[in-house]
Amino acid sequence: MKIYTKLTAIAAASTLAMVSQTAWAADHDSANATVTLVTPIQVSKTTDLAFGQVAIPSVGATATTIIIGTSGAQTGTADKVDTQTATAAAFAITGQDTFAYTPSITVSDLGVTGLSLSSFKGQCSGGSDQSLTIGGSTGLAGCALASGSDTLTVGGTLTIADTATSGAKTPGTIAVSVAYN
Amino acid sequence: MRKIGGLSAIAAFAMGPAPALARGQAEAGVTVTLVSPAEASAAAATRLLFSQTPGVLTIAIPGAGSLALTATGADSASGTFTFAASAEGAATLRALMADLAAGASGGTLSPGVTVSGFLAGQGVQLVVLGASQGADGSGSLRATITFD
Repeated sequence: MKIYTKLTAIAAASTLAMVSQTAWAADHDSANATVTLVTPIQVSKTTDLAFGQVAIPSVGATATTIIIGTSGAQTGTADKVDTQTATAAAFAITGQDTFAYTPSITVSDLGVTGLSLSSFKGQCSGGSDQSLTIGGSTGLAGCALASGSDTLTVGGTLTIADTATSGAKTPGTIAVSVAYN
Repeated sequence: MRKIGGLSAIAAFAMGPAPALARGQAEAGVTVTLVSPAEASAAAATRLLFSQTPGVLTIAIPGAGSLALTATGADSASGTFTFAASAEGAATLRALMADLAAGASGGTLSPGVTVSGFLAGQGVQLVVLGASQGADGSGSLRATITFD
């Protein structure tokens, strides 16, 4: 009887050990920590929006305009003295190849006497002109980083009144921020 | 439970930073250089007018008629335009040069002659690039005209 009891106790202990071993093995597993890294998106100014050298209207004359398209083409009614210095604003954007992005463009009119900004437009490479808000931020649609880069151009209209004074002027600024979609 | 908890942590790590942080910024200026309008003074002095047509400069001189100069090129280094005058306009321009230089150039349209002065407060400089004159005073002229 004693022997039987002892064997029973040993068997129970053995069974307990097996159960314990099985539970410990099931508690091991692994998972990978993953991340996909992309090239940071960056933007830098290439050229300012330069309306060139133009004449102020005579006193009492109607205000004149200079229009620079996103392609850099210059038109308008103002008397142009030197068309060589007229350029659209251009920004170079670099980042992850083929990624879509949204440029947010803020055009500010600095209120220089006799000068006012209007009808600003922006365009990504291969896109079409999109109207921009003066004094606010506008996001352009449909922009992408083909081959990891893109060019954003901005043009607009400068109206010159007879109250303007001669000299080099900065009637506004164009701020651009870019982010992946 | 430990496994599920571990996966949750990994998923959160894999999402990375919010997209709004992946951005860049730059700013461009809007610039223009304005010059005073060149126009007739009350005293009806020599008149110098800009044409509404790009590349064409109209010069009017009281008592001497007027002529239109058509841009033929531009010197990117100096920022000046080159204008060509017709044969009949050369004499008029010669008169203008004489007015500007107050006789300093002697009215001679020889290459390299540079004259400068003011017309109604507008600084003007002319540089003769090439000229040919006949005995009767007619001829052709190429010159650069710079306003300041």
